[in-house]
Amino acid sequence: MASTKDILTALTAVEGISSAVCVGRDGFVIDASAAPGADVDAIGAMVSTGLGSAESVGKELGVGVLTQAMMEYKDGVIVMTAIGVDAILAVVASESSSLGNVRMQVKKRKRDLEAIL
Amino acid sequence: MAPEKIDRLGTNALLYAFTKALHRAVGGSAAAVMRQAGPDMLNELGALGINGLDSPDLHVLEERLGKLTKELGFCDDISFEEEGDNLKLHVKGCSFWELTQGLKEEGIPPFACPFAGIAIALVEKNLGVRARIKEISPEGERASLIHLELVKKQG
Repeated sequence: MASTKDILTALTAVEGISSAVCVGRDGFVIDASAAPGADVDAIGAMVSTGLGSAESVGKELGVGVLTQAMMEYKDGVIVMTAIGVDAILAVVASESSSLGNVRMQVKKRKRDLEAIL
Repeated sequence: MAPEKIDRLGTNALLYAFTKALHRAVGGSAAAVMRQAGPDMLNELGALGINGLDSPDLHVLEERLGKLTKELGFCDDISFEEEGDNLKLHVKGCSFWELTQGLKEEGIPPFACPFAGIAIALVEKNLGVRARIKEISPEGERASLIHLELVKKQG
């Protein structure tokens, strides 16, 4: 069975994805495949609170459980999804990447991570 | 000028309102905010002239943290119990009891426990390991067990 590291490394092998991080709800970085120099601890906290606030918005607006969140920035996109109740997967991709493929890869690897976490 | 000694229950009430709002805004991810606050808590205590929380020896850290938290009125006593990859803190006479119990009554985990935030920052800074909360549970009146899991850094 693939490890968390294997799954994250497979994600960063996808064209356009530069970082993949798996964090606990508490911001604890479980594992990461990121560019050298990236502050994965800071990323972990931001990812956790980012997804948490997106979930709260959905709750307040009565639109159900969050399945995936995507944030678009000038130079890239971040796609996040919950892994069970205690963890989160987030990937950083370039603005020129195929967003459909990035989202599909995240959905696919979410299942793999749920099987081992 | 207001008296220098502020009321403990008043402080708990303010912290309770703040942490409850934070939990409403980001749900269970509020714990990630507390994790980020821990190192700043250590720095701020240092800025108050309370130093000495730098040592690779867990027993030294236990003694100094205990002295510090008692001096600040955070608790009556704090002790460490290390078991392999687990570190258990026993806090007695907790001054933030109303805060954490109030949150628990609302179904909110006691993520705002300052002892847990400080302890995580302390061990991560000094012992070269990473740490996360495994459990926070009562150990009698105004006493808590804070159970941390220690994780070796990779690479």
